[in-house]
Amino acid sequence: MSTSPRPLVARPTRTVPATLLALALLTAGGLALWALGALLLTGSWPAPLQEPMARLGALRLADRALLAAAAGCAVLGIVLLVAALRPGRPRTRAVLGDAVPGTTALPHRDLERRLRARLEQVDGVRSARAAAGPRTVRITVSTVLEDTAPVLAAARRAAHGTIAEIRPVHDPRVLVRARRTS
Amino acid sequence: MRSISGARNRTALALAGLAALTAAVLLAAVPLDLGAAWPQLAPALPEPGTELARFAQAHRTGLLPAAVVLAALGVAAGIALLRSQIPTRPDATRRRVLDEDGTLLASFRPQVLERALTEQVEAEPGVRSAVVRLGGPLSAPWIQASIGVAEDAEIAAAIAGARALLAREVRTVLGADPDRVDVLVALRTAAARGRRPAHVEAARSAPSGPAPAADPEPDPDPAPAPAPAAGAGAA
Repeated sequence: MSTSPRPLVARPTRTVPATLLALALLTAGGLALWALGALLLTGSWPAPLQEPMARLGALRLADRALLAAAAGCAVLGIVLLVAALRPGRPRTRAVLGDAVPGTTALPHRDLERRLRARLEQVDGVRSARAAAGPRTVRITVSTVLEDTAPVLAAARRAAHGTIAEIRPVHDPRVLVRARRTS
Repeated sequence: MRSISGARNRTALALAGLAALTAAVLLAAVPLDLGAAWPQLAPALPEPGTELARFAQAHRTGLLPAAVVLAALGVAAGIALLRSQIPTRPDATRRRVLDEDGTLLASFRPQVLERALTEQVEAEPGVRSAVVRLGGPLSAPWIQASIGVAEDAEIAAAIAGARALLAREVRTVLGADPDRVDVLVALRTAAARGRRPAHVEAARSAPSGPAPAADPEPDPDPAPAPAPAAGAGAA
């Protein structure tokens, strides 16, 4: 039995880059094993690789092609290191703390949808967009009214009310913007 | 609830990144004439005009086995990394409730208690769907649950009710307070009411994992052990 559960508010697990890396390793390693196996058994490269290997073998160590390959490897290495070391943004937010030990988490996406649904019910709001992050929630409402100030104030109240309902453990900054559309 | 190891993925990515950077330095050592910058390196570097085929032929005895080993390692690492992307769920071995003398009072599979808890949570007002997982030793169990709540429901009340219920029921059944009760909330729109959230569905339809198959003994006590015991522990 697992001794501890995985935290619900966690950094991304980097599944996509890890899967791509695994597939690349599998493909390159498999091809190399096939080619090297043929070389060891028959003394020559497999037929489909003979021409490319001959071209590769004719390259000199100071050729620009090798420099370009080195640059490619360097870029790939930096991308992989950034993917590994950059913490990334958690997809969930800790909410609704209570006396029971443990965490309650709500996906940012669900909060955004709830905010949109609530804001689109505000008088004067034609449509709403919300982008929730760990520290900031950005909201843009569009209205056809000339005077956007009352709509903005009402949207701000609705946004703060909606966020207060889920009692976030760390209060986010709520930035509301009103845009006039025709 | 299933999980993937983020630390393992990040370690693999970092190692691959370092390997790619090392390859870049090795490839660029001759074209960039690194021997001039580091005279200690100069004797190890081949002549810039050397052809790759000639260089490989000259070092064939060392390069060929090294290339075979690297290729085999690449395939093994690729398979291992790909397999680790399949989410794992908590182990579900049979739990045994013992008394103070170590006598077996009862045993049960966690799934039995998980199912009972799921049904109770789903009966809470505002809760549309739930998946409950139980882990940890019986003396300090933990719970992770995915709970789908109707978007128009009182979320705070629904979740507080569900968490309190989970903590209370586990305390009643196992005789120990849960170490933690983690709940992942999924807000569900009216249109989605007939469906479970994707992660809830995935967790629900997931196979039970390897543990039950490794324990073919028939379950003598399919119901959760009702009597809390001071010496309760996982066997």
